[in-house]
Amino acid sequence: MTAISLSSPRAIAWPAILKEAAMTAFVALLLTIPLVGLRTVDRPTGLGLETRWDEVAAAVGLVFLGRLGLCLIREGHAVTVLVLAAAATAAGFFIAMPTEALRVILIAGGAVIAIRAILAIRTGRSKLSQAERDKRMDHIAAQVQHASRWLGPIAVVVALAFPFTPLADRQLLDIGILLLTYIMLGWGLNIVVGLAGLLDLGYVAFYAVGAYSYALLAHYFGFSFWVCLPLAGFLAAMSGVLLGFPVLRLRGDYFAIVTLGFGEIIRIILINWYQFTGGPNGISGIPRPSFFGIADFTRTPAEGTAAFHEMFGLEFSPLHRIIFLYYLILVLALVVNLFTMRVRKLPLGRAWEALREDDIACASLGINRTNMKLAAFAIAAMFGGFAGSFFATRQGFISPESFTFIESAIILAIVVLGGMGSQIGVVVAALLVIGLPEAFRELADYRMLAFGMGMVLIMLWRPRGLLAHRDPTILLHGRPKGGGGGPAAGTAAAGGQGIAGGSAK
Amino acid sequence: MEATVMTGHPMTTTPLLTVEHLTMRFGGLVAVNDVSFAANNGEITAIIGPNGAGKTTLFNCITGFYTPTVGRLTLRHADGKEFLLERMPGYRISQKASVARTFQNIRLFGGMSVLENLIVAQHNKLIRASGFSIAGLLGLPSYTRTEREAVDLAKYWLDRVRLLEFADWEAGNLPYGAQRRLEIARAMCTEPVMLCLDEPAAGLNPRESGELADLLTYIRDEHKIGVLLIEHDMSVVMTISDHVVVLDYGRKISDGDPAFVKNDPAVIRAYLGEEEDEELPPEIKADLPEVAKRAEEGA
Repeated sequence: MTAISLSSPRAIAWPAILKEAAMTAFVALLLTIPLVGLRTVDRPTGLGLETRWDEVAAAVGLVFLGRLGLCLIREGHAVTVLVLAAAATAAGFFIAMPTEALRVILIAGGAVIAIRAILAIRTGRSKLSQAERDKRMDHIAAQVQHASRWLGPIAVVVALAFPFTPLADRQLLDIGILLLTYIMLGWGLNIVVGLAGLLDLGYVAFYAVGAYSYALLAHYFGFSFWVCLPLAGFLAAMSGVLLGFPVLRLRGDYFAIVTLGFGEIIRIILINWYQFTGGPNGISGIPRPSFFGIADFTRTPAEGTAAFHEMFGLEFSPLHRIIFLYYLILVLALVVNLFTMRVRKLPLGRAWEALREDDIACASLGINRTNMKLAAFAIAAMFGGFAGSFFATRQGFISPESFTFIESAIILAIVVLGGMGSQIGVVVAALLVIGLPEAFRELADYRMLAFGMGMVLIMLWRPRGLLAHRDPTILLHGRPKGGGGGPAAGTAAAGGQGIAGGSAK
Repeated sequence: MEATVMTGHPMTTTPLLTVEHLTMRFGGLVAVNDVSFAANNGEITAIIGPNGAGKTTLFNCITGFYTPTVGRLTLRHADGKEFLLERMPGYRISQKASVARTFQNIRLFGGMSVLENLIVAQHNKLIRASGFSIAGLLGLPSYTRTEREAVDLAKYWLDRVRLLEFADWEAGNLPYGAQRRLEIARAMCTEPVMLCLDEPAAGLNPRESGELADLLTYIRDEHKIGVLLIEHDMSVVMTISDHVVVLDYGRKISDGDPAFVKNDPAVIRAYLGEEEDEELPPEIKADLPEVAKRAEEGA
């Protein structure tokens, strides 16, 4: 047993601990010299190097102290370390530091060590085993999944009420719209990646098709947003089918590579077909959406159209349009969510999940794999297209630069981080992936550091995604009372019990 | 049933599955070489043979995973409908011709629940009822009713394979023997006219094998369908099969009822080896020429 009695700490083996901490600090030194210590700066004479040894020293010192703290927790001094780590975190928050980097490291490092110490105090162990940690995380994921039945509606109500709270200023609403766009894209991609198990690295292509469909239809034919929205969805779905036909016979990595290629093909066509698409200059002056074609969100609308604020007897405010856009994307995202939740309980959704689990077995059961995969592709593409045309109307300007591979990667990261197939996971992951960098914007360059650190931690602790938990779509015996994981909680404990129960029969 | 009366004894006169001159080549390798046999409705037909004899390849040809190089596979339903299996794409064989199969290495949908595995098996029926998802998305009653029937069928088979209480478990968490049974239940949920089982007793202990034999005889006797069985466990094969086909190096070397096959010298030779073996004890070595002569007469 690795249990350590906290009441009687052993004598501390200082030389060993100091050696371990020194080794860790040395590794940190090797890493921080190139990453933190050297910086290229633009000088009048050309590019020059700037050194930041003080920051290197501070980082190495902090790593040394952090490792020391972890060692002391292991030796049974969790309480002392907790106090010190909490103090360090507080210091990071309240005391001005010479640089922001130092602050991030202090806060994050202190918090991690404090959490460790709390865990050690609560469990009486210095460190949880991997299996035990997985089990706990699975349990939490299952709890969240079950809680999402009432958490979901609450979140929707909060999201609906948000624009009317005094908090809602232009900036927060914009972040909200951005978040909801990515949540919608994440939910859309979740159909292909999470449910059907097809790794699509080119999802942004459908987003681009949707955006350009609207922009070009509005530009050349003067169609309004409300006419273009379904058309954009339809065109994106068609492009999904077009891509799907040749590609769906491929599997695994090969499939991923071809979708990646497709994403690039669309972008490169948009750049090079400049007579039609405007090329790298993009398309500007994309019409803004009207209030369902009834009223405009301008102070002085064109002849023959009503103004939104006059119609409802409000003071004119540019915020009206932002709020309208916010609700628009909220509704679009909820449509995707509702669709996915319902379709999971239908033969189509079940066939997708079966395809993800074993597509050869699907063929043996008479499931037309090509049609099922094409349906997944087309539907996900359609939602991507909706999101794309929303993006176009919100920005008023689009160019191929908005549809690079990194966008696909971010959407995929949201799906994978959240836990493949988990709807609430996508929301949480979108908050982390999109929300965190926005929230830490004042940290400038270091926000990407914080972002990277978050990703590394998640991959260490939860490689299958934050809320990777699947509930059966149909239950024979109903959910057992008293909370906890469902009958098919999929935890190691359940597996063990199953074996015991099965062989006892 | 009325339609079959006209032909007198349909079970014996028109076999369920006729395999004629089936050959499957992979480049230079001939995995199945000119194999012909017939499998009857309401009978268990076992295909046995040493490792690498081409049994699974034969299965894959029948169930559409391979397209045979040469040969014809005819499946006749009781209502007289005929299907040429070698011309049908894989999933159609299950969908239209109602042939279900299991796999040598279990292929369940491990992340899905036991019940869901059985519901997915009834996909074609359900997706039609759900109006290709449109009626299902709208929640029309016709779909709800069909789904309830599907659950009832699943419950029936879960009860048969004694997994009813595990219905909501994740299939991947079931013990091995239960996974084998579940795979058979899943195949039966497609409501097949022929069930193809690829080594269903592999990895089972003797008691579980006995239960499996009971299940297969139940399926044959109560559901009146043809069962095609690849098996190495001779205790299972010899007790339950009505008809045994023996393959060796891709060729059919024997075909008949279990008692006949058991005593066929060609089969004994295929399983025990040729006479050139130096290691054989002298008393067996002395008998070998006579056995070989009998084998030639038999062939």
